[in-house]
Amino acid sequence: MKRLNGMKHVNRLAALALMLLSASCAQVTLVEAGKPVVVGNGLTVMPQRQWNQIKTDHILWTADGPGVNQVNFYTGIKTGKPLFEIVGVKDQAIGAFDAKMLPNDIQDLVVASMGKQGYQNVRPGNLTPCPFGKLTGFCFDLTFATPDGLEMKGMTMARKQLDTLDLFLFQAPGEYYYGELAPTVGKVFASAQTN
Amino acid sequence: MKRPLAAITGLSLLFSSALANAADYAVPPPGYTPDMSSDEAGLWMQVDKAEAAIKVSPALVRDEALNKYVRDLVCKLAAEHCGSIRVYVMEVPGFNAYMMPNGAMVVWSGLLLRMENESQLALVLGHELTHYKHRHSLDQFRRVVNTSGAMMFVSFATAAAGVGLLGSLAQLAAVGGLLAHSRDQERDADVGGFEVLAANGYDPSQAPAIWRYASEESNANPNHSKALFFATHPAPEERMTSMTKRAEELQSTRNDWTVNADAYHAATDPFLKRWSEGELARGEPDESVILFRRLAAGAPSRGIFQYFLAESYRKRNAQNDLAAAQVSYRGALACADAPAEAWRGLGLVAMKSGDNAAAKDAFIRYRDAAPDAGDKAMIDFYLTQL
Repeated sequence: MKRLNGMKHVNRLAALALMLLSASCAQVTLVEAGKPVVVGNGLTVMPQRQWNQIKTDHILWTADGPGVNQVNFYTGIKTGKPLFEIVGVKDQAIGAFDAKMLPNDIQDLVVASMGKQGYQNVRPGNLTPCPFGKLTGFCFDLTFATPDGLEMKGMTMARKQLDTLDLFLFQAPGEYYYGELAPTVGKVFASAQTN
Repeated sequence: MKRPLAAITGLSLLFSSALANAADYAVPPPGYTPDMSSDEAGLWMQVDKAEAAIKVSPALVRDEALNKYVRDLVCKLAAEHCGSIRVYVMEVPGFNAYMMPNGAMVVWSGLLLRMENESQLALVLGHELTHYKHRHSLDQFRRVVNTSGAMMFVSFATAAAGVGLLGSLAQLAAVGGLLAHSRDQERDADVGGFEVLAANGYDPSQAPAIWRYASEESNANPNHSKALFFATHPAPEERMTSMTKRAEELQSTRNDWTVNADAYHAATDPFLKRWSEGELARGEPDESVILFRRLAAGAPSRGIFQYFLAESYRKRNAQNDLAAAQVSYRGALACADAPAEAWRGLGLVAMKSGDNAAAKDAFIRYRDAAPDAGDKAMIDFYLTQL
């Protein structure tokens, strides 16, 4: 038999990596510590350390390369739109945000969208309200594996604002990288402010 | 137990047209290893790397009891080939199982979630054992190399090497893709699987159901490709028809057919919640609705299937889905094994429907039933909003 979906998942993530790599030729900029950065939808955050910033359909920060760790700032997501684009998958097949969604629904949408990206056994936990700028947003953790079987962890913070969704997602291998960067990323998330 | 040998022999003759298309390789004798100078040895070397990666994969299910159950069943079906087969149960939610030419058999948890009894599982395992015994991978490998040249072998070797380095399910997919069986081989494996099923006294009438399951799930989702097990296989409808015919022919040859549902459920029940969560995480609620509707209908006293059916409806959120979810959550809560999360689901649906009193009641019940739940703070927050 043929595991076509597995191949598709590889291709999706490979295409994403290629896209980021291509983007890195022209659009990688240095984010300096201690200077506020606009990440979209009128939001600024304060980096505690230097990051490499890659701008594609959203802003992505990485310390060691996007294949190793990523802080994704998905902002201004409107009703009917997916949380993020997935190479080779039509938007309507990904699942879309709806302003009527509750935090549990949005958590489910993140899990399903990551599943469509090709990640395996995406499991959420610790859904809790948390401050997001001047609003109350919500946070949750993730565990999952890449299609290569690498065990990953994730940290998410999100808020609904005027019928749009802002979602920050940090992901890194559970071994070393997540624990090394999570405290710093947590401070970045906590620093979110509306302009 | 008397085996319906005449019927099975007749069955083989009946399907000789399918067998005529299969490769003419000798069944490997028990304990077979290929000659080191052969291309088959090269093929085995590459899949050995893939197998080594599976052994250290985080997705490998290491539960002793479940492994023993599946391994014992494979051994029973494989008979004299038992010692040549190694079984790996992987926690991957797709509807799939596959066989490597070196005797490594991989069974995905998504397959185990979908089967309703041992008879159904035996058919799939028998199908995979036929791929091994008829050496379909070697045949396909030689066809690929002959038609595509040495570069394809390099691609295959590279993919398999990646498996060795990373334990990659994705790279395994690449290996599987390059060694995908032909439709004739799949038909041959269908015949072989059916023979194994019947020879071991498993109810043949269970066989067509598997293809119906695949067809129903696949047809429910316009965005999704076929379930993995069926990607290169003959259409489920074709198999359903041929299996039904074969089952009807065999049914009257004995009256002690077994399905062994109890043994199957005893082995798989401890994992149903986790595997069902994995199914929902695939993000294909159209298919999940079909799957859990079937499982719930087949086991009306099992609250867990009602719960996951409700979750599928809630996540899909199409027209009337919230109402359907509410019915299923309530159905789950009427069962002894209802997960506490059914109260949470009921609360979420009520909150979205604007029924604040019902939402408040359900959330309080959830909090009482699961005081240490990871989302307790979120539920408390919802309660302040009602």
